[in-house]
Amino acid sequence: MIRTVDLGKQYGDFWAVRDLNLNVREGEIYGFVGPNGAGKTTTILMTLAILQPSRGGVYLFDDQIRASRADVRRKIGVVSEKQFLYPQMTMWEYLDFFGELYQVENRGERIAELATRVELDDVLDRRLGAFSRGMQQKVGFVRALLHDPDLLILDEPVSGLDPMGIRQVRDLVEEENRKGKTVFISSHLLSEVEKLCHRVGIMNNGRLLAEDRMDSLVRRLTEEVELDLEFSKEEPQAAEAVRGFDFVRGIFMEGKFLTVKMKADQDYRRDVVEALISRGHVPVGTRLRSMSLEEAFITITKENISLLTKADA
Amino acid sequence: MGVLGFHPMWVLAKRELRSAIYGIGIYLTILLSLIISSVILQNYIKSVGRDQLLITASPLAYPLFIATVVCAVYLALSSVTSIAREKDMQTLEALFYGPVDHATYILSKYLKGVLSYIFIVLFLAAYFTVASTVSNLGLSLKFLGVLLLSLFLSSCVITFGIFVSTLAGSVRTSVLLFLGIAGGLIAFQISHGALVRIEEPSLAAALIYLRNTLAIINAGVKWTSPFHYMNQGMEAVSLGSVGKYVLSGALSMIYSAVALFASVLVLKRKGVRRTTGE
Amino acid sequence: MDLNKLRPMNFRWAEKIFISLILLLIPMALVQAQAPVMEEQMVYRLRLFDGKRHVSSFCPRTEKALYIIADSDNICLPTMTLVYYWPLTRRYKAGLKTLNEPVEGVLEILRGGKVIQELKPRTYTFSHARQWYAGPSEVLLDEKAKERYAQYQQAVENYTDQLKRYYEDRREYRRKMEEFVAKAGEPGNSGRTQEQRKKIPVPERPSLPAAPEFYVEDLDQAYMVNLPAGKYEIRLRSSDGTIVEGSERRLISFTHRRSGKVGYEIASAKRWTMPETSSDPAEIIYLGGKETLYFRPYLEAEYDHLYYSKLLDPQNEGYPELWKWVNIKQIEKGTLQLVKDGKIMASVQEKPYQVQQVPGPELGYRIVDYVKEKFPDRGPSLVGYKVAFEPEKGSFQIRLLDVSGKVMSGSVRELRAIRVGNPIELYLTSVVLPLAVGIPIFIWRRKKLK
Repeated sequence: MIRTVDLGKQYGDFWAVRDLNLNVREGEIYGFVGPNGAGKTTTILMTLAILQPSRGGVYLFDDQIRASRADVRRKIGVVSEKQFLYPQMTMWEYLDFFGELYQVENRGERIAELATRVELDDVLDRRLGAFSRGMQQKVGFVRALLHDPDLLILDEPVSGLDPMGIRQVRDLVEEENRKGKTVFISSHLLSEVEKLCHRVGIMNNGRLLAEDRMDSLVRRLTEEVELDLEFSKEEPQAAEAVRGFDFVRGIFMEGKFLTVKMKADQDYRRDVVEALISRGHVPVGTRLRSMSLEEAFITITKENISLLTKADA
Repeated sequence: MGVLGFHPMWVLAKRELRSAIYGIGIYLTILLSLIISSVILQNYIKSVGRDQLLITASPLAYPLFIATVVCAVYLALSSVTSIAREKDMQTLEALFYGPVDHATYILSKYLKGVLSYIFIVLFLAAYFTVASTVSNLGLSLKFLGVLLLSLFLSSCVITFGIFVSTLAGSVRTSVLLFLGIAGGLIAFQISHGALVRIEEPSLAAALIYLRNTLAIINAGVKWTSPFHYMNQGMEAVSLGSVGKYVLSGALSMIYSAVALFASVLVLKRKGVRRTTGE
Repeated sequence: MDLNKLRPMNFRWAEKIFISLILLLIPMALVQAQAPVMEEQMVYRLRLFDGKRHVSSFCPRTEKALYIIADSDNICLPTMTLVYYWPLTRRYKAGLKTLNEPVEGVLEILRGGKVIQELKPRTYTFSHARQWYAGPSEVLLDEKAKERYAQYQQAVENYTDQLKRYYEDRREYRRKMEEFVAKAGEPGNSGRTQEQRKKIPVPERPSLPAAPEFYVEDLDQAYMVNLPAGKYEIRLRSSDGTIVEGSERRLISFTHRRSGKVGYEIASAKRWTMPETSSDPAEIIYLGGKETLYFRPYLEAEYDHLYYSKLLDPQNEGYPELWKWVNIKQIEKGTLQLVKDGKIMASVQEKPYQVQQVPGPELGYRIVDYVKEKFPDRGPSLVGYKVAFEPEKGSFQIRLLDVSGKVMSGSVRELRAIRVGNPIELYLTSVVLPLAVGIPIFIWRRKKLK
C-alpha cells in the first residue's frame, strides 16, 4: 500500500531520513515508532507529498502512483499530531467543508454518523475555537474518515486523549481495519501500537532499523520467554516435572504459581503442560510472557541494531 | 492541477467568500468607497449647478473608478494576509492532505478575490443606479464598460496580493512587505514621472543621468506594478479609447496569470508548513 | 557693552535660519534671472493645414518628425534661427526677430530611402475671405498667388483712393454744413423769408467707403508639401549637393479615420464668450437649471490624437492609438429639431444674435436678434441655433437636418437636467446600502455561533 524506495530527506548536511525502504501491506495496521527526531513525521510528510524528498520515491496503492496527485490523496485520510482548525467555524461547518472538498455523498448523514461514533454529536453547532485538545483530535479523526479512504495515516492519533478517548480511537481503528482499510500509525504510545498493529517499523536517526510482525520482531530480539502456570493448590513438586527439559532455563515456585523460563527458539508450552499433567499437577491457567514492544524498542534504538534483511523487504 | 482541480478550488473559494461575507470588513470598505464616491458626485453636481453646463458621455465613470480603487485596496490586503494567515494558523497543511495542490489552492484564493469583488460590484451597481436616478445623471454603456474593466484591474491587485502573501511567512510580514513593495512602486513611479516632466536644459547632469536610469528601470518595473494597469485603465476610460480599454483588460489578465503562476512556484518552493517536520 | 549678549538665544537661531534661507534662495534667484541659452539651429517653419485652416508652428531639432494631413497643401520653410528653451512653458522657442534666414536648397521627400519628390521654393500667399483672423482661408501658389495679391493690392489702392476722396468730401461737407447752418439759422441776418430758408439744400453727408472684405497676405517663398497618406522622410539638399545638417526628419502624412459626423460648439447665454464643444455623439449635455443655449454645428473628422497634436505643434504631446474629433467645417445651412419621446417639439433655424449691454448702472447683458440696420457698424456677436431649456419640461434631444431634410449623422445630442437635490440622499444611500446587508448577516452569524 505504501512503499518507499531509498527515500531520503536532506537539510543542509543533515539527513533527516536516509535510505528508507518501507513496505506497508494492504489491509494491515502498521505501527511506525521511533524516538523524537527519528524522522517519522518527515517520512509521513513525504508520503503525502507535502515535503519533497531529496532522494528516492514514495509509491502508493498500485506502486505506480505518487501522492502528488490529487485523486490519489482522495483515497487517503490523515490525522496529524495536532489539529489546527478554523476557530470561527462550527464543527458541522468544518466537516461539511471537508466533506464537500472530498465530494462525499450524503455527507450530512456521514458527519452525523461519525460524530456519534466519537461522541461529539451534541457539539456539532459549537465553534471549533471552543473545543478542547481531545475534542479537536476527535474532529481530526472524523475529518480523516469522512470520505471513507482506503488508507489511513495517523500521526500520534491519541495525543491529548483521555483513556476513554484512546479506547474509542482504538476501536475505531480496528473497526476501520476490519472493513479493509490499511492503517499507518506513527505513535509514541507503544502499548497502543502493540495492541493494534500487525506489523511495526522502528526508526532511529533517519533510518529504518526494524520492520516485522510483533511476535517475529520480539522473537528475533529475545532468547527467553517466561511461562506462568497457576494451580488450584500449592504444588511444591510441580517444579520437578519440568526440571529435566533442556529448554528450561529457570524455574520459580511461589505458592500456587510456577514460572518456567524457557528458550525462545520455539513454543515449548505443550511439552511443559504435558509433563506436569503426567505427574498429576494440572494447571488451571497459563500465560506466556515475552519481551514487550517497549523493551524491543529500547533494545533496538539504544543499540541501533538493524534487524532488516532482504527477506523483510 | 489535476482533473479534479476545479471542484476543490470552488469549495475553497466558497468557504473563504462566506467567511468574508460573514465579517464586517467588506461592508465597511464598501461604505467607505461609496462615501468617497458621494463626495465626488456631490462636487460634480454642485459644479454643474454653478456653471450650468456639463458635457460628458459618462459622468459617473470617475467616481466609480475611485470606488473600485478603494475596494481594490481592501482586496489586496485581504489577499496579502490570506495565505500568511493560514500558515500562521497552520490550517494550510490539512487542506493539502486532501485533493488540493498548490495550483488549486492559489487559484482558489484568486477565485475568492474575484467573487468578493463581484459581490462588491453589486453594491456599487445598486448605489450608482440610485445616484444616477437621484441626480438624473443617468447610466450609460461607458459606465458599464468601466464596471467591467474594473474587474480586470482588480484582478491585478488581487493577484499581486496573493503573490506577496506567498513570499511572507506571517501576517505581519506580509502586510509590511505589501506596503513596502506597493509604496516603493508608487514612489518610484512618482519620482520617475516628476523627473520625466522636466526638460533636459533645466536639469543638472547628475539628474539627467538619474532620469535616464530611472526611465530604463521604469520600462521594466512598471509592468510589475498592479497600479500601472489601474492607471492604464483609468486613462482608457477618461480618454474614451476602445482600443486602450481592450488592451488594458488583456494586459491585466496576462499580468494576473503571470502573478498566479509565480505564486504557485513560490508556494511549492516554500512549502505549506510553517515549520518543517522532525 | 557686548550687544550679542543682549539678544536672546532663540533669536540667534532664528537669525541663522533666516540667513541660511537667504543663502539658499540667492542661487535660485540667480538661476531664474539667467537669460536662456540661445542656439543657432536649422528649424522648419510651418504653416500646416489642420482640417479647417492653416496653423503656424516650427519644428526644432529636438523633434524628429513632422506631421501633415494627407492630400492637403502645407507650407514648409527651412530657416536658420536662434532656438532657446523656455522653462516656464517647457517648450523651445524660436527667436525669429533676432535671426530669420531662410536656408536655400532642394527639399527632398523620400520613401523607403528613395527620393520621390524634389521640391523647390514657390511663391505663395494666404487669402482670407473675411479679414485674416476670421472666415475660411486658402493657400495660393505661384501665379494665382500673385494674381490674388495684385487684386488685393488693387482693392486696397482703390479703398485708399476712396478714403482720400471721403476725407475730402467730408471736409467739403463740413464747410457746406457750416454755410447751411449760417444761412438757415439767422433769418434776420440772411434777409430771407422762412419759406426761402426751407428751400436751402442740406449738404449730403459722404458715406465711408467699405474696406475690402478679403485679405491677402504678402507674397512669400516657401516649399509646398502635399503628400498622400504614408510615412516619409524629408531633408534639405544644399546647392553643393550636401544634406543640410539638422534638416532630416521623418514626415508622417495621415488621414482621418472617420468623417462626416456633426459636432457642436455650444454657447450658454450666461457664458457666451466661453463656448463648450461636443464632439462625441455619445455625450450628453447636462444642465443645472433654466438655460438658453446657442448651438453652432460643424462637420468633424476623426484623427489620430498623437498625430493631430503634433501637427498643431511638433512639441505637443499626444496619445498614440487614441482618436480625436476635429472641427473641419462649419455647417451653414440646416435645421435643428428638438425631439422628445419621438415627437418633434420645435424646429429652429440658425440666426445671428447680438449681445447688448444692459443700459444704466445695472450690470449685465442681454442677447437679442441681430438686425443689420440696428447695428450697421458691427457684425453679430454670435450665430447659432437658439434652444431654450427648462428643467420642468424634462429631457429632450436635438438633431440637425440638412437642406434636404435628412438627419445628419452623429448630430443627435440629449439635453438633460441634473437634479441638484439634497446631498443627504446620496450619503444616506452610501451608508444604508452596505450596512443594511452587512449588519443582519453579522448579527445572524453571531447568534448562530452562540
